[in-house]
Amino acid sequence: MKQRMRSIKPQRTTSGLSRRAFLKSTGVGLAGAAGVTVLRPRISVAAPVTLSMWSCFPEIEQFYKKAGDEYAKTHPGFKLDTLSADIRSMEQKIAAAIPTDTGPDLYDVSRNIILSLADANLVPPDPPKVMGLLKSSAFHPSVVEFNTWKGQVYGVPFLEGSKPALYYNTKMFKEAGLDPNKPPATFDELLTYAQKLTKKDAAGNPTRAGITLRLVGQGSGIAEKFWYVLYAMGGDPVVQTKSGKWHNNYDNDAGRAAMKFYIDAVHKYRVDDQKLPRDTSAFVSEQAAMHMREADVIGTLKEKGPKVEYMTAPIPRGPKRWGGMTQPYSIYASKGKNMEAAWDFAQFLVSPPMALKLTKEVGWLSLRQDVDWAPLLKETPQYKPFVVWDKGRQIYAEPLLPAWDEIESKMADRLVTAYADKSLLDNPAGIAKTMKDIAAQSDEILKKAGVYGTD
Amino acid sequence: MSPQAEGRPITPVQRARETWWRRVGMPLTTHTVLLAGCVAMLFPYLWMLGTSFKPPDETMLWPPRVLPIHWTWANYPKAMDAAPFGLYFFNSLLVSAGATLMVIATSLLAGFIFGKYQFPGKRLLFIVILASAMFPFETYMIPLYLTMKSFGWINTYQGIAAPYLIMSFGIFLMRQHIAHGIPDELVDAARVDGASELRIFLRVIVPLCSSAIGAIGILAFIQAWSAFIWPLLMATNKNMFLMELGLSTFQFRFTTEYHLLCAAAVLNTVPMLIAFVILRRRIMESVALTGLKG
Amino acid sequence: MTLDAAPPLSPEGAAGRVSRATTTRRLNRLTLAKYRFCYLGLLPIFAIYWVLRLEPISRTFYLSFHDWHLIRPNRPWVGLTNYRELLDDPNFLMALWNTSLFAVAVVVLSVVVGLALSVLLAGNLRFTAAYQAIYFLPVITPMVPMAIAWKWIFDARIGILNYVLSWFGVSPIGWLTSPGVAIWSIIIMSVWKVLGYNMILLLVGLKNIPATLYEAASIDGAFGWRMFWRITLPLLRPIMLFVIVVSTINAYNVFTQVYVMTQGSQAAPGAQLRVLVFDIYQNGFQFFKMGYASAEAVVLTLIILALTLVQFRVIRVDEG
Repeated sequence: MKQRMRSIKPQRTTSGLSRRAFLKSTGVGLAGAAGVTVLRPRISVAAPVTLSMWSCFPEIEQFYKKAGDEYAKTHPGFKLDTLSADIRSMEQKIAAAIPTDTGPDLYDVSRNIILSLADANLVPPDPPKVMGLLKSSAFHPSVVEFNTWKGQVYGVPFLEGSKPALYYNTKMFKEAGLDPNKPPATFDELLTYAQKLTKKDAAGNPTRAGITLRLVGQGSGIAEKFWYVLYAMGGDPVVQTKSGKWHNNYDNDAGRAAMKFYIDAVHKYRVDDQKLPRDTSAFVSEQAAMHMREADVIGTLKEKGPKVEYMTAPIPRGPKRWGGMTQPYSIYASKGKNMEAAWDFAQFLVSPPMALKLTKEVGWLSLRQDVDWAPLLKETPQYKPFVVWDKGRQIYAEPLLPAWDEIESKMADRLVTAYADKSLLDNPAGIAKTMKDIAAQSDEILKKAGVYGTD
Repeated sequence: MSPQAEGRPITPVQRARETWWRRVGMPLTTHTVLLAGCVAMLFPYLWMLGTSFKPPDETMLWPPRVLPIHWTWANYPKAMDAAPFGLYFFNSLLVSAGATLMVIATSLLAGFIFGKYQFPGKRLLFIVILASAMFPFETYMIPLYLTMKSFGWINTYQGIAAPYLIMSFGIFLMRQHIAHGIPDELVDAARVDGASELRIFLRVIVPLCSSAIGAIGILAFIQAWSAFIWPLLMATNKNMFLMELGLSTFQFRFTTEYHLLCAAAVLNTVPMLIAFVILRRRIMESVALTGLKG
Repeated sequence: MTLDAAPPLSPEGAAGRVSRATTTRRLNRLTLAKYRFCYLGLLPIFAIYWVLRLEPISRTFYLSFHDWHLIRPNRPWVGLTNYRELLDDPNFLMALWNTSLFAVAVVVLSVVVGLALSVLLAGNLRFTAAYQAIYFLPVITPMVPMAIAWKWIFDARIGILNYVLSWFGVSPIGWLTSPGVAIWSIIIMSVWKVLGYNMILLLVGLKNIPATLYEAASIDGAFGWRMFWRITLPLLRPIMLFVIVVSTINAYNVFTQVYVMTQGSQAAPGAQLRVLVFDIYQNGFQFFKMGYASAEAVVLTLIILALTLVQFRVIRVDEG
């Protein structure tokens, strides 16, 4: 039986129901619902419903299933069908399914797809009761802003996808004579500490990175790590003008300072090298002393590097502001007969007990502010910089821009080349030119997308 | 091959040397070369196999090792529990077997027609068939998805199997094999005997295509078994997932659970290996051309 | 064994000199029966091709002349704009260069080595079955774990390859990180993956050369190389054509291994490994410029088609 009759729409047969059978049951349902609507008393228990949910995060799927079971306790007859695959493949799947009406009732996905779907009117904006939740103290106002596109808010903020912190190996700190309770607070200190922590061979080549930076690889990873530094220096990859146009904001002192940080790190102080093992695996296998990365490393270390002694600290600040970034993922409901039920379940998924459960069991962070994290922090104090939002600390997210992916990818490719360019060492003119060229490319893309403007 | 044929007298020493080369030297070199090659071929597979027996904290060791320090069997049951692989296996089997049969049937028929007949438009049609294999699948995947939707085939076995039901390479191979491996005289003789074209096809051609059927069968099976993006697009429910899709259960946003992934991957390779072993004999059977002297 | 398909009996042929009237009637009936078989037989096959391949491809081709954003509903006609943009696109041009280099290298290496392999394994060698299975294993190994294993093998500091090379005094090479070298690493890996595939196909061809031919030749005094050159290779031509054409098509369509090897942090520099299908995928599914990606796909297809026609002409096996 339907929970509440919305407009009758042609249905996708997600459960394999044949068209005819479905139409028949719709007919019966209509008649029944008409009767019920006329006579109905106030029912507080929702009628049974099955929701289909697609996720881009295979490891969170189990969380969704468990949340579904929890929810079913207070909503008898509720069933959740989940499906997941890696994010790139799921993006393709959602891009194919939603416009053709063969999509799920609920899904999580990156924001860039949502923009295009919203333009095509395929994602419903948040209904009033969801907006109520968003505007309350449950979420930081910036988070709501991050989910706003063309004046409408979409989705229920669910996951913190990319908030990084600084991981540091306390044993190596002690060995190098550094106080493990005083992690570096600025990027300058970061470089100084890194020099003390790097191990080099006779020829001066680093064999253990003082800090492992993302120097090679592809796409968003490279760019994101660059933003941590860029924001701290006072720049942004792109910035929006008052009239709603966009242009780059790193062909300036901030951008040059950020690039100088990398060039100095790699070529002057040699605290990291393209040939060294990188990133999480380097930190886990103790090939690097420091590492800036999201909260997943905590889970990885528990499983694959239980003997590593480490602590976490917030991303350092630069001369102008704090570094780091955020990447909110939201849960979206689809237009369809189950939309109401979908919104309700989505709100349940972001409730404080579920938020705690998410981090404890899967190691992902919720975007909710009003959760009591004490039980979590008692067990794993390393979560502190991830779940606590320091007052006065700036929050940055990737801009809501359809051309963003292209800007990011193409910029990343150029950054990799720049990092490897020894000629940029102690060469302010060279760095200035490099940043100018990369920025010109970003502007080009904005121009092609028709959103470029400087006023 | 024999020196006598070349008209040279041979000494016992020469004969001994040649025999030694034929009996020992050549096989020895051959086996050495082949074995060296085997190591290269097997190495990644061995790594995968080894990792499937490692506990989680050994998968990220540096320097990496092929074999585990502590062998553990737990990954296999854990991997199988992580997702309903039994169901996925059944789905994959159904889709792959169906695809293989269709490919073999269509390749045989089309290969015969293109291989032994002349008719207007033949060249053009063949080029069209071949050219359709050159167009990258990911580009016309979406229009095909729309077609499947209009058929109501989303989330159905036939929908998932659709792109794998024909194989241009299969038609091409069969055509080569039939055109050049089956003498026209056989076909003509059968025709003279009054057989219809269909009869010729079924009674003369098909039995002589054993090895090609084997080769195409394996390729079609593998193509369907290792498919990923299309089956993902088509499934709206996990019950319709295939084995290869199940593997992505272990690929997380930032890391991959290698020990479980490798266990599942090893399980995934087994059916293809079995298919290979079964069809290999067929391929190695040489076509016995009795009754036809050159 | 003829190397050419038999030409149809035509009224103008030598055999048709007999009484025009009766022969023509009989021949026409026969030809008609043949034509009927051909067209009827091809009908269902082409119907399937139409639905599963030709129609979607035509739609994509049609859309390459539009500004087709994957999700947005309106798609204005833009004529040849997408194609013109392609010519100026450094990413596309780099991908074209990389893919062509890759294709030539992979085809040449995998065919030559595959041929050598199949010759060795076609004879009366012991353990042939085991060898064949082992050499075929890479073909069926799933891409993801395999790519990880290869990333390790190629690792600059700790990889097995550099380790073995160090025995010969060679200093470590950045297999996946040095520009210029990275693409060769992928080439080696791809050859490794398809070797077994080619081996199987060539074995089919070899097995179909009757032993009687070899016997006859050896009586005439040929042996070893000469036999291979004069008898085996020419008779392998039809299969060789197939293997070369198919290897080329597959090489130009390389995607998965590059995609997997360049994801994640322990990865190779993206620009050096950019290949055409990856460029298409990125344009279509990351940037959502589907019209542009379709145009790229059309260009890719035309290139491969041209190459294939050349291969057919050069290997000159048969005709018609």
